[in-house]
Amino acid sequence: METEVLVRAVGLDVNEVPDGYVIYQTAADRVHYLNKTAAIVFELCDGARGADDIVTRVSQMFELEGKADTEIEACIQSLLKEGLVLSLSK
Amino acid sequence: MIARSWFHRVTLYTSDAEIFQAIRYLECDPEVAAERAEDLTISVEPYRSYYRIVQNGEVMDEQISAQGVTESLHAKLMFLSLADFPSAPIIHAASVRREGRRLLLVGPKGGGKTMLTLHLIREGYDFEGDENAFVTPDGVVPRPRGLRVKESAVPLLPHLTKILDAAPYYESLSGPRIYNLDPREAGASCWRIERGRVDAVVLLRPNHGGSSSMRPISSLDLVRDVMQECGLPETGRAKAVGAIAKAIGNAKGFELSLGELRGAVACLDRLCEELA
Repeated sequence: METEVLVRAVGLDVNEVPDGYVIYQTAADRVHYLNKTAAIVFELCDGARGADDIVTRVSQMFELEGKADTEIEACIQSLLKEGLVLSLSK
Repeated sequence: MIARSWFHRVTLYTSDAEIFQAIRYLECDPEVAAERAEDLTISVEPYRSYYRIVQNGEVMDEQISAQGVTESLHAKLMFLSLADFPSAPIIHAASVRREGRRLLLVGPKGGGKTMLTLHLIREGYDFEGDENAFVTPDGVVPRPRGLRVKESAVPLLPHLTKILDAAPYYESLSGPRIYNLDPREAGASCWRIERGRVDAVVLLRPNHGGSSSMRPISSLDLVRDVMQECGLPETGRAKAVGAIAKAIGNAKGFELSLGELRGAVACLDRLCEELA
């Protein structure tokens, strides 16, 4: 059975700063700024997890008990829209 | 007279009194802690009805007016600086030091960098540059250049009136006079430029006529705002962004609402005490 997983895009130059990530996207010649939470979401996009799994993990990590699921989902959608992560069938 | 880039020491010669006065605007002779320095010789001489600019024996340019000569040499010096660090991003920032700690004051043209820097010099801060800093993998390199003081700022600097009266200046057809001021004339005990780390970056937010206050900002906001005042090289942009993230992202970041200057200096004094 096919499942959708999220994976970080190639062609990204990731720089860690104390409050998150500064990412240079070569293809688009753009700089992206990810806060700490977005950086964690980005790291979890490792090709082994789908969006729902990532939402659950981040929620557990910060003991949010599902209260911020919408925001985490929005973060994932934003990463997808900006081309920083890709959705693949596995 | 001497003009500098990080890796170039340019000796400017002329036998023409008008040209001498005009190109003194470019004079800049700090102590530069560069690994090496290449000597260049540029002379400007009257030739028929124009001036001829000759670099190391080769004609570089021919200009009609003294102002044209100044503009041509100004561009030449800027190109030399850019050629020193072709892959480095360049930030619009003044650089000052106190007890070995470097502060970058980042802000747009007209944002108050020079006025604040002049007051900091008066309070004993060491001056490096008031306009640009290259960001290299081994730290930032302030671009050697004298302080540029606008004519409109002179009434606000009564302690420098006499010095500015005698300082060389550039005057465009439409714009105000801009003075070239050696920081040592403005009270700095020395003028030394080094490559090195940045301890704090202060974003200047003009608050003309108001009071000054300062607050810390996150490293992410700091890098984002500095990028707005940054020129990236045409190639190797990923490395350039990485260099900024490393140099700026790891410095302490602040936003200074820049109103009255005494209050602004007090804010930076407190910051320096914290850094120490």
